[in-house]
Amino acid sequence: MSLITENAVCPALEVQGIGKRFGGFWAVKDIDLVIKQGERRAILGPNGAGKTSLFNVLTGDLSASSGQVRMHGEDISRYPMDKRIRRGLRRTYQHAHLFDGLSVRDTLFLAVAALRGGWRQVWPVSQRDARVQQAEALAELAGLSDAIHRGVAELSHGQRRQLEIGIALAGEPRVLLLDEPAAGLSPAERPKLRELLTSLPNHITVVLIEHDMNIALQTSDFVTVLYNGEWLADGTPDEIVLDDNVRRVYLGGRDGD
Amino acid sequence: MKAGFLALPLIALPFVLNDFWLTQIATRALILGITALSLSFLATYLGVVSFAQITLAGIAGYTIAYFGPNTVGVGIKLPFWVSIPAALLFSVTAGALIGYIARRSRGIYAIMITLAIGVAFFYFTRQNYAVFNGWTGFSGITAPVVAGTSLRDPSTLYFLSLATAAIAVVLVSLFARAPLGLAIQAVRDAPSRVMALGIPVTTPVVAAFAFSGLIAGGGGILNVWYQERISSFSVGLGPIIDVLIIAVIGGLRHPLGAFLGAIVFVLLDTFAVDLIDRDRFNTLIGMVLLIIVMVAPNGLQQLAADAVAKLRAKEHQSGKSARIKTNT
Amino acid sequence: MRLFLIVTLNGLTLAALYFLAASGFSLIFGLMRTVNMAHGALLLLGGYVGYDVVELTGSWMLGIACGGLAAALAGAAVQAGILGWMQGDELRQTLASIAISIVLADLMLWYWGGITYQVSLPDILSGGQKLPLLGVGYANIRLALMAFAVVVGVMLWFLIQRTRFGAVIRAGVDDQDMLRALGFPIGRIFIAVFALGSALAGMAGVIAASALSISPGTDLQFLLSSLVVVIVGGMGSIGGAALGALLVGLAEQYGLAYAPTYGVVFTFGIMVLILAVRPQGLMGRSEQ
Repeated sequence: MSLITENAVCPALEVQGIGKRFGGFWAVKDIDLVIKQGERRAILGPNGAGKTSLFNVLTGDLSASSGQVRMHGEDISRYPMDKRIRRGLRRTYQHAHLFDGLSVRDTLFLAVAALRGGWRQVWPVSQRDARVQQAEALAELAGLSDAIHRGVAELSHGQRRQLEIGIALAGEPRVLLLDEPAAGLSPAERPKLRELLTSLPNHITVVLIEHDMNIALQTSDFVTVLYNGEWLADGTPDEIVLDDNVRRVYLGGRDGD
Repeated sequence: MKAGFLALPLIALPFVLNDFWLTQIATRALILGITALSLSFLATYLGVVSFAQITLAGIAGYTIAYFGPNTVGVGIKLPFWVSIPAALLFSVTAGALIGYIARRSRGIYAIMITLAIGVAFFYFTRQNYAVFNGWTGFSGITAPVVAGTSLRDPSTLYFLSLATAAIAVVLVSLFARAPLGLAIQAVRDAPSRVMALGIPVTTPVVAAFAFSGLIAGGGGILNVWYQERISSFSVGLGPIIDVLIIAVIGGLRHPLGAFLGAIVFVLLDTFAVDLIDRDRFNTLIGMVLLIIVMVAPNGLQQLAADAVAKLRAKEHQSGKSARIKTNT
Repeated sequence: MRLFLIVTLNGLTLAALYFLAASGFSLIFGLMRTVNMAHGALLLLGGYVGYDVVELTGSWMLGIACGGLAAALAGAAVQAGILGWMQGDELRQTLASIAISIVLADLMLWYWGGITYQVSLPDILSGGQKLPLLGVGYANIRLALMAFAVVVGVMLWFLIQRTRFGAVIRAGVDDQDMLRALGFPIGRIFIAVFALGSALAGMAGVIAASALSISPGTDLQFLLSSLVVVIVGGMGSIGGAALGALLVGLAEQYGLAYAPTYGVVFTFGIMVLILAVRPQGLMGRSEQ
């Protein structure tokens, strides 16, 4: 079976009955999702809706208590985190722990080397090494060309977010999970991030957790709303804004009455 | 250029100093500095303060003693071109093993575990006679003779130590920029994030300890030639603390601080007799360590770097001094 | 069988001593995340002072009390004068406490010299006891030591679980900032706990000087055993310290009896095994 027909048949991400239980509490319960290849999907929901827990289960940061995850038709439910990463599943973290002692370029180089191999090399790489070139290309893609030789500790909050995305784009990402990439950004930094999100290559499927409704609705073509760890609504951005359930729980206080 | 300014006086040293200064001060400081470098390498790049570096140096030293000429009648005599690689092989392997044991430990946990390993090794060498010759250890160890010159000859040993120190510094700086070196630093900054990149954390930790074993092993071989003996006391708490003090005095943020710390330590150790009662050296060195930790936690290297930065700031006037302030 | 019983009893004695030493170490770590490398030196100080007091007054109980008090005062001074100023910087505290232990050990060597001291015992504790059931004789002081360790363990448990001071400590272990925000004088609480932990060390020192003997080097021996005990048992847990002390004390004595050359290796082997399976120790809470 060729890659194209496989992709045409199989969704990029197919989630069936995924749940995560902490003790007696279900942080995520019985979630089903079908996300097409190249889709821009936003996951919305108030705090505690289970969005980040869902990501943690999808990437293998946490093990699922129930359910199945398929990526491009392949059941990845039992794969350890690094194998999912190698299959092209990438994510960014809400609270970015980055390598404060490394430069932007070295961080991106390490992300590339982790996937393409050769991170065990004990002598320095040359500037012309393909992996260095790729790291530089990633920096450009993430809008960090000017800061490439800077230490990560010196980056602004917005630049750290861009670096997060740069790391996630290393190698050949197929599905990109972005956990609140705009959180904590200044109003001046937001358009730059939106630009970066809309410029991502079309073949990459993007799933986005976002509190900023503007960014979420402008950069996505389909929205899923979670509430208390459970599915609440699905729809296009226009439908979601008008959905009664969503208005009640999410926009409730302001628009509901 | 910069290296040249440093190298020339160091190379000229044997022609200027008498044997006492050359051997007791310069060579000793270099050898201690190499062993301390293995500690500050781990502290700088892996963020782990290891108390087991004397153990690694001791393993190399004991290997040389066991496989070389000695006067206690223990061991097998092998040519030095076999025993030296064997010594380094053992210290690297032991380093990797310690790294593996401590692979999930950071901070104070790593300190406690490496200290426990170091002291356990000390007790072990006292109790084992077959290989370590117990309490008394080995004496009468002679350095190899190459082309008619003994490597223990004052200026030869000095140059050998200087060359080893230079190689060690170059290796550290190359390794720190290599992909594996970057991975080690990444583990220091955010271990969970390293795993999220798809890199298992154990490999960089084990590699860092193994590499530190190589450096410490080099120091250990030189030390056993220098002392011409090795015993349980060479791997006891005294030397463990000495090397720690050297690294801390020099500064744990930069590997080169080790040599700065070693010079200060050796000068204190040699001339303390003139200042205070010889028997109270430990009180003196303890106070020095305490003062350094309290007023300059990043050591003399950082103190010197700050002083240089301040001088430059004054020269360049107000505009640039602001930048330096934000850096420090 | 007789040998086995005696070795087991010796192991329990040693475990009792290790527990007394390690419980204070673990208590201090549990609240303040301070690894007090001067713990062994404080223990030795307590032992020396206790010896002098017993020689001077002839009262063993007074010796224990004064040994504990001397170590408590020294410990409080260390926390108030030095370590308290670097709270939160664990590495710096560790290095500073190493410096303190070097200086303390050297000054003690200067004052008390390099000789071995053994505290003379009161009449009730000297001599031995024919143990019922087991049929072996055993020194009174060693039996008293085990009883003492049990009493101290129970009292510590009571203090931490059942008193208001203990509640503050437990709250502090979970969240120091919260305690501070609630207006508790956290600096003084730290000094008090440090003094308490040091008092335990000081008393252990006098008891070690009674049941065994003390000399320069005893400080290192007990620092090391405390380290291994809390690594095995889990940092900051009194129950962990008890379990760790039992394992290490027994292992050391069985090792000494049945494989004399490699006694240390047993202790060390246990530590490595536990680190491999449970890095946080048997009863420790997982970190990182």
